[in-house]
Amino acid sequence: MRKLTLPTVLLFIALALTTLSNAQDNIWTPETHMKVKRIGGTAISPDGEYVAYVVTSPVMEGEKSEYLSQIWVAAADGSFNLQYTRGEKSNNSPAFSPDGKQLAFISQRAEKPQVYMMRLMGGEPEHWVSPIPTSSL
Amino acid sequence: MGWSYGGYMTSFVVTRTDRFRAASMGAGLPNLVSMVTTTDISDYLVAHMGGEFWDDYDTYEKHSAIYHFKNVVTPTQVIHGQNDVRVPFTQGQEFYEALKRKGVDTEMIVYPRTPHGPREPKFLMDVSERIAVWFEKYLEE
Repeated sequence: MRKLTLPTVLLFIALALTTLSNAQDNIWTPETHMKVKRIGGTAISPDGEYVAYVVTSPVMEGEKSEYLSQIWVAAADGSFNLQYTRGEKSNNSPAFSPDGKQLAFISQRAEKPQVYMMRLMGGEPEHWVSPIPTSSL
Repeated sequence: MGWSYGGYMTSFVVTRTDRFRAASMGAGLPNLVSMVTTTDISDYLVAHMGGEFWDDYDTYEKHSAIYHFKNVVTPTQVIHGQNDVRVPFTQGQEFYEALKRKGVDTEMIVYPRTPHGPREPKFLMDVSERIAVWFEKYLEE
């Protein structure tokens, strides 16, 4: 076996220390737990080209303590990944239309949760059906 | 420590052994009799227990921590959501009041607007911290 030279030993020590300090930086705390965004509510377009999904993150500025969900749409080939809905109210449960050109979703933007439709490639959301009774959600 | 059924088990464990330095019961149910008449899923509990409590007090009492409370010496933290209808807030309250009356170290943490588990991010952060601090206090001694 080759004899360990001083520079090699120093390198090992440096690597070990780096790993150790990284481990301390990565220590689990309630705060770090909150930084992990949750992914859910996925839907795949009928042609398999697009994936809609929901990203949920905490909002804790000032008195606020709530989760905000927004819909993202990504191309299955990885060529793009865009935030599809925005705003201070949550948008959930994406579903593609049978022709794949529109995306329906439930939004909290009005007083009660309602279903909206939006053209997959841009446009304003259209209110689609009357309010959903909260008890049925 | 445990939450819900884990909270039930926590309440039960501290009536059975003094081997733990501390315990934490989250949304636990120490009294299966009062649980039947206050939870929103009483049929589930009755089916689980094999019958109504008035037909079989022995089984309900045998499995409820509150009926073995004399044995409890372990410092036990009690955490509950104020709007919990699954395991009503009063379940936590029963255990907390019993711990206090018996002179066992305890504290009760109540989260407002909270159902059967913290939902608001600030409460989710808080509950982890509270449990860790509770155990640290007793494990360091």
